[in-house]
Amino acid sequence: MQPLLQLKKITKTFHQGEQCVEVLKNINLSVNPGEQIAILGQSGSGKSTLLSIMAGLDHPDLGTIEVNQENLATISQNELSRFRSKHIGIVFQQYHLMRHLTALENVSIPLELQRTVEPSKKAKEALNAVGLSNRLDHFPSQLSGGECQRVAIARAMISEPSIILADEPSGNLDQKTGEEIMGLIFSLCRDRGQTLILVTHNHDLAKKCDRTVILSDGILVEKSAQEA
Amino acid sequence: MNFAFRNAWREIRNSRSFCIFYIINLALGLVGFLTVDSFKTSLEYKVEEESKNLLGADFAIRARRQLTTEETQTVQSLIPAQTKEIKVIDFYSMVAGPAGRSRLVKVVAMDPGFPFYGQFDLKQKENDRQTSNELLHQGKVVWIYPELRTQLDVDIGEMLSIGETQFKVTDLVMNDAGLQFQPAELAPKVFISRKNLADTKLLLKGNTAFYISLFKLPDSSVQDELMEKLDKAISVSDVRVYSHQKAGHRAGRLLNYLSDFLSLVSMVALFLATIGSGYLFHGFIVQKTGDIAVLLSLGASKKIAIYTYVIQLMILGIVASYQLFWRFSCYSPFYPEHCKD
Repeated sequence: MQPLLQLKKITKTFHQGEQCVEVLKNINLSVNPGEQIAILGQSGSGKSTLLSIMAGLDHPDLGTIEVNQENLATISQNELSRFRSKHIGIVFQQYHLMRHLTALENVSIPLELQRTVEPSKKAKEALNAVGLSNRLDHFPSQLSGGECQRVAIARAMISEPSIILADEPSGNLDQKTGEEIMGLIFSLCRDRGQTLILVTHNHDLAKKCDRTVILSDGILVEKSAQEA
Repeated sequence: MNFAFRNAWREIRNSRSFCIFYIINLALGLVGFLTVDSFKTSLEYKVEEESKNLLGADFAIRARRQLTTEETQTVQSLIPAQTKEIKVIDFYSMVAGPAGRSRLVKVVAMDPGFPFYGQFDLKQKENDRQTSNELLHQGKVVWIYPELRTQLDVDIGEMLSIGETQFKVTDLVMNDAGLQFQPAELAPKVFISRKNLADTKLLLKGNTAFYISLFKLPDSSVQDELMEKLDKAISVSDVRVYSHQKAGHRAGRLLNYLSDFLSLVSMVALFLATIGSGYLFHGFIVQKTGDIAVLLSLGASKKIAIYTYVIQLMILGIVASYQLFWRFSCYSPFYPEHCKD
């Protein structure tokens, strides 16, 4: 099977004055379509950096990233933006909703960027799918944390991307709400056949994924879910 | 770009309180500068507008002596046909009231028809001004500044001694027009007809007086060119040619100092407004940095993500400027009438 996402020899170094911190060291990873992968690691281990590189938001110093057989390093910024809007959905820990836009407007944004017809109609359907059909015109400040994350999930999935990158999506929520949110993400991804790459430090969540990789000292070590 | 406009509009619509606060801040920053600057402009415009009234003519030639025949011929050869001319002589002299009190005054001896522009504001308002002006030239009568009533203990209808002649005070000059060559006078003025000046025997050999010829051009468009020609033709130190603009500027010299000061103040106001606006823009952009990053993560290009907020800033700036200029032009007491037009 042709991998959906392939990282080859990814290296990333941050410079702090004269000090160099090598966050990612020669990372290799292949993810198949529909697969659910957990990236485990301690805080500051480089999980979020790796996720940013996968999303094309950050560039590695060395190595290549291929998504859908498209090398992200060789395409222009505008092409990368278009590619990201179609193929990659991101769910952040802090939700990152536009606070001056309603839930419906927030969810519509990816479709509007793709110039899809009737974005509002599809956004309503997406919000309905995450159980927020009664919160369409609410602003983020009028929603609970769990509801904000549901809006963020709807926004990430509305353009039906092949990959969902989730950066500790339950990290800001209480246990019960977090479990509900993660259950929602898992089920939506499974139902739609989307690939999920979940960054977390929660081992229980990682066990629910097909595969777990551990990022430690900049090195990615692959383990089975049971071992993790 | 459509997305950028739509998103900018949505953000404005959904954050009204912030937008109103932003617009008010921006408008207030500019209003200080505009108020000071428009006051200065208004001042300059008024001086310019009133300059003909200040001189009382389109241009004047002022000398410490009578013009020589050659000089007079030169002037006559240069000015256009149908140019009207009035002569005025002024000088300082002591005058005495009926009770014997005396003091220094400026005697202005003028021809009928003076001034070409502006008019005398006389105390005896019930009198027709035209008639009053003619009466000054029909007999030995004098108009005086109001302060001379108490200084010389003289009243309307009483006699005033100017040189060797008695003049009857027929009116008080509340406001006079013309001959404003300098911002201040050394003494109050008295006005008599020039034809009676010789009787006073005040202008004898050695006496100092200013001999002024005032001109009204049939077509004022030729004035600038004429001024240049006259300046070249009469280039002696004791004869000066004044255009009404020049006289206005001289009379408004003190105002010019004020104007210069106001220019400085308005520059400082502009500087502060710029810094304020800069902080406002900076604060706005910093606040929106997170939103720009989110838009990028959702697939917006950098151009669209940044344009969204640049357009928002532009819309707010245009609204603030429009509000400012509209309200300012309606309500500012300093906004010049010609600018409103």
